[in-house]
Amino acid sequence: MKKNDLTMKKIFTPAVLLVCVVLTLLSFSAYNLVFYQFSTDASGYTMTTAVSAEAEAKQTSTTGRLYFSYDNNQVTLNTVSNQDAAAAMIYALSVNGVTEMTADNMAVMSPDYLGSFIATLPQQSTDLDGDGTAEALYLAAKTDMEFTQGYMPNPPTFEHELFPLEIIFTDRTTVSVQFDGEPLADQAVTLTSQRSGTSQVTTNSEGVIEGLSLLDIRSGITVTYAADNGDNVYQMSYQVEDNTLFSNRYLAALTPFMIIVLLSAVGIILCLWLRRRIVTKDPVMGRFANGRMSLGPVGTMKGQRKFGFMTIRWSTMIVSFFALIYGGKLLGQWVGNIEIPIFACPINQDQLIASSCYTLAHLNSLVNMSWAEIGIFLASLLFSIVVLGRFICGFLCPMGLIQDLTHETRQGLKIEGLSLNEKLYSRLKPIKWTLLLLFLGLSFVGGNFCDICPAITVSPAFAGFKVSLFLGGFFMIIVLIGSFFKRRFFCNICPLGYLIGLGHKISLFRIKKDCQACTECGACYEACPMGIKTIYTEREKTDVTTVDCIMCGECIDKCPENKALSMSFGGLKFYRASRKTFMSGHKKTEKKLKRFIKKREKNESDQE
Amino acid sequence: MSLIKNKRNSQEDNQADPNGVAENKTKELTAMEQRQRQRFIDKATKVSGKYLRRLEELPGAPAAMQPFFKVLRDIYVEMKNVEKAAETKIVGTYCVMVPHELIYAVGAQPVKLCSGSYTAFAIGDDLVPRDACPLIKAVMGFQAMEVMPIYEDCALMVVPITCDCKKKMAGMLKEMVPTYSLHVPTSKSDDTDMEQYVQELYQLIPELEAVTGQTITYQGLAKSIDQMGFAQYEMSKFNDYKKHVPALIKGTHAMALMNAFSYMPVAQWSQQLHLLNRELARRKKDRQFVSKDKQPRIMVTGSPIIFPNIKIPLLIEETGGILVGDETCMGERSIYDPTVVVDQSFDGLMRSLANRYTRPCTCPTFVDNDQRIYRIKQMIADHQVQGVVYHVLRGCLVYDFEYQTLEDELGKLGIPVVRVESDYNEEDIEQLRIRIEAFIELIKLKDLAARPKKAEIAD
Repeated sequence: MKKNDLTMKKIFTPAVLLVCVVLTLLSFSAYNLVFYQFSTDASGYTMTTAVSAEAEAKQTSTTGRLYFSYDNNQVTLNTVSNQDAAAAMIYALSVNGVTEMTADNMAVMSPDYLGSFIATLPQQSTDLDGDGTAEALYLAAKTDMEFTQGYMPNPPTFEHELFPLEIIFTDRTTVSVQFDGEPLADQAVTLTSQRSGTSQVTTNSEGVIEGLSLLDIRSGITVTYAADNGDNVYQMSYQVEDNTLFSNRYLAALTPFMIIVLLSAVGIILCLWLRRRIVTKDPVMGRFANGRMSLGPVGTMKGQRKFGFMTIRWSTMIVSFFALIYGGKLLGQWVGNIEIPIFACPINQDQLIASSCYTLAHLNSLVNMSWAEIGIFLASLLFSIVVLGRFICGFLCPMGLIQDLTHETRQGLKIEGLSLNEKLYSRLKPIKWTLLLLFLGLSFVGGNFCDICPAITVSPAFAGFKVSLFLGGFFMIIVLIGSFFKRRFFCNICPLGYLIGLGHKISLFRIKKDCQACTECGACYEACPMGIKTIYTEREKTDVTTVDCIMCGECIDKCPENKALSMSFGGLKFYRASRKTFMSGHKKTEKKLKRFIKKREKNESDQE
Repeated sequence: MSLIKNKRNSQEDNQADPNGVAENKTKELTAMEQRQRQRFIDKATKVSGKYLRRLEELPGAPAAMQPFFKVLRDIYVEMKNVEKAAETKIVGTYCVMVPHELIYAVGAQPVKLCSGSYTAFAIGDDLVPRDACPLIKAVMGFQAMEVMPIYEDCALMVVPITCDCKKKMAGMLKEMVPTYSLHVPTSKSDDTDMEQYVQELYQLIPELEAVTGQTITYQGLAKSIDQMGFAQYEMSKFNDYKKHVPALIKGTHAMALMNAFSYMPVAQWSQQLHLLNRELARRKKDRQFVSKDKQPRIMVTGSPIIFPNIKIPLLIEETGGILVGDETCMGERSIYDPTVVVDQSFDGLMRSLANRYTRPCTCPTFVDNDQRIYRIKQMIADHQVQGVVYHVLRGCLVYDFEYQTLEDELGKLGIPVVRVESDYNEEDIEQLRIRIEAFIELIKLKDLAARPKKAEIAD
């Protein structure tokens, strides 16, 4: 045993250090290790002009006379008359500044284009308010393609010489209006939304129109501003390219994820084959090589509970998966300025709630933030650590669901997993800290943690956003293979989870233990995906929450002792271990036995 | 030693001529040996019969206990084999660390061979050193006499290497019968200990398969884990009834029930236990109790108490105490902890078995065994125990080692403990009676002294 320990030390300590160093080195060149690159320019798109006769009928309103729309890779400028269509001037934002689009580069867009377009019509005179005098009407339409909508320091803006009024959409949360290059502050404008109709709104001191959701902007808004006492009316329609679910575009966005899944499957099969080769040679285990990785139809365990807390956890995870990935699309975005760690990948623009994950990974951007924003960021981070803690990891994280699903696949196939022991778990600490340091510090030295993060491959892709993958893509393959054999592989080294976990002392979710009731059967430790051993060795403290605990409740689910383990929120124990529920799977057998006994007794009495 | 040698010779002969097993055995016996055997059988059945009668005569036995008594009678008085299909092979096990699930999975029937026979003890006394524990002496006695069907029909004996006595016993048994020594880790705090046991169990499988010729399959193992799980399910229900105050069943009967588990197919045992549970539920409803409110509630812990050596539980209940719980390896411990399957693969099942048979096991042969004290404390709380009888078999050192710590710990709780040392004979019975009687009187007095205080507080 001692010799074994020594060799372990000899092998693992340098191995772990090597992993840390390699991770650090790789992270600096993460951006150059391309896994899958989507084009981040307008090439491949075409621009057309269309005349809609339908809209012509409703000439009474000026809105809807000029707007952009998307159909897969085709951008269409919709007008109501041939005259308008001919007169419309289209400009594109390109690396060389503003370029006027001609018929040539409308058919094949230049890769120089940055994905923002504006179309203007010449001045028209119409009597808009019906007072007899004609007003000068200036119409324009603006659109931004999906890929322009990352977190960018400077949103795409055109020169105000092109058109004085401009709608600027920043950070996917703020819609502001500029006039002649200055924010249009404290002015009444008419806002027409395709979703919610026309209303009069007043911009605030920074020219921001409040109360607009991402869904409004995706379906198209129109802002009308009557300047110079209503003599000159400026109107601009604005739309952000919407990612459409289950279209060809959506499948294209899923491509890298599919590639990852495929490569992981190949990797898993390779691992199994390799292990089989090794195991077959073993004098003792060789015999079980087949049994240990059986894929055939085999029986199942019936005795343990099937439904219970874990059912709740699984349904919560699935609901949160959809809410965090499609929530913005389904429900509209909630409270724009609350930031909660991990609540959806911020690169996914359909997220329900803004996430502080991005800010944490780009702490250098705090410099550009106002004190209020910094305050909100810190307060919401603290709030989520206290109120939720790593409950997020166990119940809400979509990445957790993906890992649990791969684990369940293995369970279903009855393939032997990889059981780590305490020595390996304790050696993970340097890797955890390295990743945490990279997570928080990489932005200061010019890196970007999002390029390493494996979670980036899941959420945006499922929501239909084409996000290019770098080192993170390769990392995800390792994570999927890892989580197939070892449950919640990534959670063991996840820097965000670890950061939240560091605040476990003030978190409200807690795992409690009744040390006397515990028989040290170790079932909790066996069940724990995070390998927390203290949960069963602890003999004094009633609180067994640790940095690593992800509140998945597996330990309590598998605990056969009454009230030995429990989960509490703010001192209220809401889930306790119980032998009765643990063994509830046997109730079926009991019923069968009862029927059998009844039948036998009946037979006996008949005979008498 | 001559007895053993004889047996070894006969075994060798058997191997040479497998067809003439029965003839060989009878041929070698001299008239004296035959007489000796007959005397042994007479005496053994008489003693077992006597204790069984005392067990049955102890008032308050539920009607559903009868099948369990019958099993004990069949094995010890009628000298029958375990009730099983004719072709089913028997695998003998010792201690509580041999996974019965594995034995059922290869289609064999496990029988726990740890023995409590006084008569066999007397024979074994000459075969093993004087200071060896009586359990070993009894086992060796039975082995040497070649009369007990459960020992004779064993296709394989699996002996976990736990205490020194068991270790040497494995060596001696190896000389006579096919024996497999199962290495149990000496400590359990390290993960590697448990992992080592997983390997040990993997190595046990081919040995078991050789017995029946049946290959272990995932289905078979899963089914037997479920089967044992159901027994544990019924057991936990039974435990809940046992916690009832006043008692619904006498502890001696509960111990007889656990003893019967050793000699019954698990499915049959859990079925009978189900019927017993049903009767206890009825008793609870009808408020039909076997103890009075003021009867001292005693718990037994320490060395195994195996039929027919049940003098201590009988004495406790005959002198006015009520035995509410036991923390011994022939009692609750053998089946109390369920197998918790967390990984559905074959290896996962093996791991869960290894885990279940080492980590929660409170056998004092483990280096680190603090959990036993916690377990006892929990039982004291659960069963409202007022006094603990610490049973030490003469020569059972490992249990004796833990007495001191337990006495200190229970002293803090104000629970009196009495250490009773006994042997496999009836010579010490009067001495034990006096000690236990005094202990029970002490608890009664303590209770009386505490009662007015409680009343004062209430006022």
